[in-house]
Amino acid sequence: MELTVTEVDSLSGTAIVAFPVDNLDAGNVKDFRAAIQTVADTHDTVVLDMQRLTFVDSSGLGALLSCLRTMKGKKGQLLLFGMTKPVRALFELVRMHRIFSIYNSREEALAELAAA
Amino acid sequence: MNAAILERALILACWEGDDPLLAGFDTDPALLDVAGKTTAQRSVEQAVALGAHRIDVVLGERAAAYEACLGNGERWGCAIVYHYAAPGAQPLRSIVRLLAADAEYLLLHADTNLPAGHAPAPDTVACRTEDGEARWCGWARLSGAVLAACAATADSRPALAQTLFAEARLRRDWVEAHASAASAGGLLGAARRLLRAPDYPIGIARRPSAEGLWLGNGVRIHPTAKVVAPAYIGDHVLVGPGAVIGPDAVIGARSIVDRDVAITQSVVAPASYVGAGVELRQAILVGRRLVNVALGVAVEIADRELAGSVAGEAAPTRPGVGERLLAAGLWAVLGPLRRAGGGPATGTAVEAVHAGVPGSWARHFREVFHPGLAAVVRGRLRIVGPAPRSAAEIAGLPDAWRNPCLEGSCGLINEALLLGPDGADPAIRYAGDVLAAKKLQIRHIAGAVLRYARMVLADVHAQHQDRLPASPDGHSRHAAQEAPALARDS
Repeated sequence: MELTVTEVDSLSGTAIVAFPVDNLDAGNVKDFRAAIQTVADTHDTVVLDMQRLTFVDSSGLGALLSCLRTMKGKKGQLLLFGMTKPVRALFELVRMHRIFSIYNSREEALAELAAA
Repeated sequence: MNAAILERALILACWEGDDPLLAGFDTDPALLDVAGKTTAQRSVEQAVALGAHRIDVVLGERAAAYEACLGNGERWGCAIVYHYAAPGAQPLRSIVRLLAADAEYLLLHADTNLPAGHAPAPDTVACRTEDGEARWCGWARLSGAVLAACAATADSRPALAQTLFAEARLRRDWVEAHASAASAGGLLGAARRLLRAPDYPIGIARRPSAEGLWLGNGVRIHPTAKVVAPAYIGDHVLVGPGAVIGPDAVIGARSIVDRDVAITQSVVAPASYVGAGVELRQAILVGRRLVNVALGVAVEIADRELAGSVAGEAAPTRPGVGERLLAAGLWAVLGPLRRAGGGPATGTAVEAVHAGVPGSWARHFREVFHPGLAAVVRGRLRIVGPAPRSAAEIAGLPDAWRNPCLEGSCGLINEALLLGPDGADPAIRYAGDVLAAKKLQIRHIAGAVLRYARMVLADVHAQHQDRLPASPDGHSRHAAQEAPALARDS
C-alpha cells in the first residue's frame, strides 16, 4: 500500500498520512500495517487523513489501534481527521472515538498540535 | 356522525417512509418489533379501540410480511381484509370502489400511531407544524365518500396528504407529538414515549416489572450488569457481565447482549446479537444494519463479532404430510387423464392457459400438473404455490414480487392460473403468488385442486367434442365451445 505522506514544515517530526484506498479491511490491512510502521518509525507525530476511507472492518480497527500503541510506546502522537460518517459510526460502536484524538479537519488537528 | 359510530378503518401499508436511513432494512419499519409489538399492530389496536370492527389494509411491497404480522384480525376481534397492489400500480385504485360512502373511516398509515388516548374528531385530518409548514401526521377521520374522492388520484404518500389538506370538507386537527416509524428519529422517539408513558395494553406488550422497567419471560441478566429504567428487555434476552442497559433502551426478544455492552436511547430488533464492548447510543440495530441517528448514517456491520442476527434463515414453505398424501392420491387417480390431448405447444403451458388457448388446460395437466405431483410427494414443490420460475425470471421480478417466490416453495397451480385468461393481468398474478406463498390448509388446497380438475375436464370434453364430426346443425361443436366458459362461471 502506497501511503501519501506529507511532511509538515511548521511542525518538525510530524507527517500527514492520507489513505490511498476507500476500504481498510482484512484484504489490505497487512499492507497498511507495514506502510504505516515505516512512517511511525520515522516520525514523532502521525496525522491520519481519513477523508477517503468509507469502510473499516475489525481488522482495520485493530491495525489503527496497533498504530496508536506504537506511537504511544515511543511517546509520540496519532491524530485522526476528516472521518466519514460510516467510519465514525463504527468508531462510536466500538468506543474507539474515546481512545483516539479525532478532529474534523486537517487545520483543526494541526492547530491542536501547534497549541501543544 | 359522532365518535361512537366509527366502524371501519383503512390502514395504508403500501407506502413506506422516505427516510434513507431505514431503506436498507430487511423489513418495513412498521413491522419492526418495538417493545413487543410492531407499529402496524399498534395501528390496528388503536383502530379497534376507536370502534372499528372491519379494517381494510392496502398492501404494497411487503404484503406477505404484513399478513403474517396482522393475521385475520381475530386476536383483536375485528376482520382484516387485505387488498393487494401490484408493483408500480396505484395502490388505492382497488379500494376506492369498495368504500361505503355513508360509513365513517379512520384512515391511518401502518407506520403511524395516534398519541395515547387521542380520539380524532369526525371530518378531521391530523397535522403538525414542521419547519413552519403543515405536515400530515398520517391519520384522518372522514366519510367513505370523502375518502374515495381523496384516494382516487393519490399515487404516493405526499400526494394523498396534499389531497387531504385540499379537501374542503375536512378540518385540521393539530397534534403536537405522535409515534411514527416513518423515520429513524421518529422510531426512536416513539420507543422513548412508549417507555415513558405506556398506554397499556396498546403500548408495551407487558406490564412493568418495576417502575419504568419491562422484563420479558426467561430474561437472564448477569449480576454485574446494570439496567437503568426506563428500559424494555424482551423475552429470553441474555444480558452479559458488565453490560449497561438503559435508559430508553429497547432490546427485542431472543437477543444476546454480550459483556460490557452499553445501550442507551436505542432500539435493538428481536434476535439480534450485540457484540462484546459495543456501545449503542441513539441507534437502531436490525441484524447487521446499524442506524446511528445522531450521526445520521446507516452502516452494514461487516464483523459478526460486533453485531448480527441470531436468527436462522427462513426456510421456504414445504408441503405438509397431508398435502403430500393428497398429491400421491391425485397422481394415481388422475393418471388416465394424461392421455388427454392438448393445445398447440406454443409458449409455456401457463402462458397458454392465460391466453385462453383451447386445449391449454389439458396441456397444463399433462406437462405441469401430473408430472409435478411426483415432486410434491418428494417435498420439492407444493400443489398450490407461486408459479414456477427460473432463477433468471425471479431475478428479473420487482423486489416485492421476488420475495414471495423465494419465501414459499413454488406450486403447480395458484389462484391466478385458476382464473384462466382473467388471471393474465400482472396485478392478479402478483396477488396470486402472494396468496399462494402462505402455508395453506389442506381444505384450501383440495378446493383449488377441485376447481382445477373441473377446468381440465371441461377442456378435455371440449376437445373431444371438437373431434366429433359436426352434426348438420353444428350442435356438438357449439356445446363444446361453451363448456369451458360454464366451468369457469361455476
